[in-house]
Amino acid sequence: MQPSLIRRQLGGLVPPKVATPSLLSSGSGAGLGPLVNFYSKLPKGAAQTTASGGIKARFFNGKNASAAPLLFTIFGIFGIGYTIDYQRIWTKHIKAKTQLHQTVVDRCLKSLTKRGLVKTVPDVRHPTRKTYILANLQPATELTGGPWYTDKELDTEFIKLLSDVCLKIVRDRSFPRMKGLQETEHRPLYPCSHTAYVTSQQVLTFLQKSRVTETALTVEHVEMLLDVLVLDGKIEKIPAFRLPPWHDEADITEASPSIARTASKRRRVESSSDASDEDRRKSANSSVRGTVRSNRVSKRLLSGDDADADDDRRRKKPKVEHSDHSSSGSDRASSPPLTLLSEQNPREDAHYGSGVVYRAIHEERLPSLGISQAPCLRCPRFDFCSGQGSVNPKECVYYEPWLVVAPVVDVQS
Amino acid sequence: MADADTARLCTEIVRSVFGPLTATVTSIILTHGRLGLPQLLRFSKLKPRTVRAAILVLVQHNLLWHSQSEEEGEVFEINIDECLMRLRYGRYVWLAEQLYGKSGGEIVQLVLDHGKLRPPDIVAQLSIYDLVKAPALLTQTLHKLVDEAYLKPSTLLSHFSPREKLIRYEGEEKRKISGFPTAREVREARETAQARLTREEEEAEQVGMKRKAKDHSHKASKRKAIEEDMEVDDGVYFRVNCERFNIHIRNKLIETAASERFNESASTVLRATLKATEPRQRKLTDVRSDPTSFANVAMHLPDDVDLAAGLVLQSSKTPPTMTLVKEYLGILASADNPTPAGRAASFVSLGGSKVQVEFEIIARRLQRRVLESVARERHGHEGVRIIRLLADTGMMDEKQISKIGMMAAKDARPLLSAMSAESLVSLQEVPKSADRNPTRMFYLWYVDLQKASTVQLRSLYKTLYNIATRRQAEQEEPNLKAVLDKRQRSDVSQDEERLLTRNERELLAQWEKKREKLTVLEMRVEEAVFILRDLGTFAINDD
Repeated sequence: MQPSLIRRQLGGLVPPKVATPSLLSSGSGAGLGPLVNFYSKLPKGAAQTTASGGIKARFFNGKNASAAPLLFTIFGIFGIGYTIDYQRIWTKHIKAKTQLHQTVVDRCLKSLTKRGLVKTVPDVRHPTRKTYILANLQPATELTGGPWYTDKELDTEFIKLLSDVCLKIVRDRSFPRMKGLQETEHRPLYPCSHTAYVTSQQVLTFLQKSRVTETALTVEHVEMLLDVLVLDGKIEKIPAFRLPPWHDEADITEASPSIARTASKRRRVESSSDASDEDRRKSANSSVRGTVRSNRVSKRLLSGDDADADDDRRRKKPKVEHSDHSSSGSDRASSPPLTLLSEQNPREDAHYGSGVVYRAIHEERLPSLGISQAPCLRCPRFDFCSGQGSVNPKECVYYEPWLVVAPVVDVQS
Repeated sequence: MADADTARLCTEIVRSVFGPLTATVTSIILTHGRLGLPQLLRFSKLKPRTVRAAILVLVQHNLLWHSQSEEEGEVFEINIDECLMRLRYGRYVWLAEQLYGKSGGEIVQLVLDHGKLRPPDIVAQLSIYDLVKAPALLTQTLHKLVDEAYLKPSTLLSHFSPREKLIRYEGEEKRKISGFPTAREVREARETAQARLTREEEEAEQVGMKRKAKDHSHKASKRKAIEEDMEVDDGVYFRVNCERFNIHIRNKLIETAASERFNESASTVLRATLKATEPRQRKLTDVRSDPTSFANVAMHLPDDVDLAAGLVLQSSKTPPTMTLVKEYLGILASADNPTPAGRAASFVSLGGSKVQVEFEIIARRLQRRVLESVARERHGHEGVRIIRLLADTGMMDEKQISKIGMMAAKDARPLLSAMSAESLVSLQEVPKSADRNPTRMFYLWYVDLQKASTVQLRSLYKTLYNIATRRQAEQEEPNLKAVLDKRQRSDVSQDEERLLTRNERELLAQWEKKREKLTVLEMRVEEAVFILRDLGTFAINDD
């Protein structure tokens, strides 16, 4: 062994200038002072076991093995959980925030759930994630999916029930009620000038009044349902503020005696209207300037059925403009509806400017009545069937019962 | 060139009308596209006389085109559209009877039976039983039919394959382009060739009417209006103009759609509007009808109709007809819904004080309805919802579909894949990264109307073939065949009641019912074919 190597190795043990040979072997003990000082400062007692095995050993092995850091982690997660404001937290986010290893986090969470302090909650938007929330908190409704989801699943029967109720509500207001036979024979319609169709807000009110379900619904939910009904072709969405293109000028001159009536109606109606309705229409991109005025106008139009103005309904629109004329002195309300029709504004939101009402329609299913009766349409072996093969029309088993059973149905009736 | 389903259908139609020999010839020509006579002889293994007779029959009934090609000499090609129109002949006869009475129906039936006929022959054939009054009435009706273009003259030009001529004209136009042809020039060449072809056809069809020899002796010179006296040219062969009858079928479909969507009175008003412009409707490809005024529409309303029953108006007294008509037309025009969605759901369009029926909008809507009904049968109402959503809003991801349509993703996914197997919906892949890694791609679903219509049309042809085959098979069942043969006997045909046993009569009754059902089903499927093919505003060409 090289002596210089040893010297160099051992040289680091004792700091320089403390134990040089000259100092040590000098006569008096004065030079030994720093050395003694040095040695007195060294730790005494048995050597400590080194930190081996990484994190696990840090907590669970050795003399100082305690769960204290573990508990600290737990509280740390608690704190993070509280700060996330009733949202769930994904394990990946816990890992990112606490900078802990995956296994530690997993074990902490397992022990926490065992103690009943946090619970796992399913997220409808990302069903494959493991998300946790504190046990005494309820997750926000948008994470559970709102009223449509029960236990992670879309509750189709509930949706169907609600949409059927909505459809009935819209239908009641879209077709005039006549006595019995007349309705089925003639299926009368309202003319273009009819205005008493429902808005989504009114549908919501009806739903809540009818107590079909206990879950709290908002206008957005109702609008989602109504949009699905539009997709099914059962109702249609029309702008709330519109005029037939040939409305008579004569009607406007009749308006003056009934201004007083409209004023009183306005007061009655405003008290029963909803604030959210106004907000929504205010925010809608309207082609009518002066939104507050137009809101009052359109609200009056829409909730006109609340009052008993059956005879005034058709004259209400020009009358309303006339009263607006007199009240505001500007022709804000009169020009936009005519421009909505005559200029074909390419922006769609301008059409729906002052709100949207819904109207039920009879579905147009014309051609299907014919071909839907063909067994071939529903045949599972249609592609395989051919003139020569084992599956052919001559011996088709689906045609046999069809030919024998059903009489020829007259679909033109 | 036809695909297998169409070819089989055409063959079946020909066989049911003309017999198996002609059917063999038809199927051979259809399989090969077009053939010259020697090859036809070789493939069919029939005697030359038979083949020539079959070709004559097909030419007589406007089912065969000639053309002249350099390599093969004279070649024959089958006119598939004409062949498929034969399914509607019954309806044409009925329509003619509705419009022009019994004599009209008889004339049309005769012309359809013979393919093409000259007027003297028509009159001679039909007045066998009644030699006194019939000729005059028949000539009058014939004049009206030709005037209104229900019968059109059969020209030499119509026997030449139009595709061949189109290629030739296009070649000529392209030769005029010097240098490299741009895309626009190529397209213009094709359009010019097409226009030239149409013009030639129209000119050729002017042959039908000729001026009567004017008798100047008793025409007062002070008369302002000079009447054009046209009469039917006796030397010209006339055939049925299917397009004109198709217009009637289309109008009926539109009325039925309106009555389903609104009510009977609205459909009455629409019928009046269509009748007002009917004389000018000549082609199915018109985008919209001519404009007519409200007064004109009101004039064509039937007298006893009660329009007020279908409308609920405020005033208690019955409003005048004009107001009612205006209201109905407003409803039909979606006047209270000026959005694009409303316009796509309208039947007529109002401009000033004129009203026009929007054929293209209606046709497109009817096409969508057919596709939706097919989807409803095969995939349920959820499938219909998906299709309507995609047709309205372009391309969408699967997640958006399940969110907006409020259905579970696990429901939506199998539906989408089943529907795409039938080409009702199609897929568009949008890669997120430069390499096309399937896990990192957007898959957008959309509805391609043209592709879906074409595929459904093929399957409807196959359905029609199945129905026809089944009808034939039912007829050839041994027991029934025996009874039918017995019925053909001269003594039995006079007196069916006594000479047929009860069983046989029951068997016959059953078969009659089955045949009626199959025929009605065939008519209904044919209506769907009409919507998809003839009303398709974008031409579904086999070119």
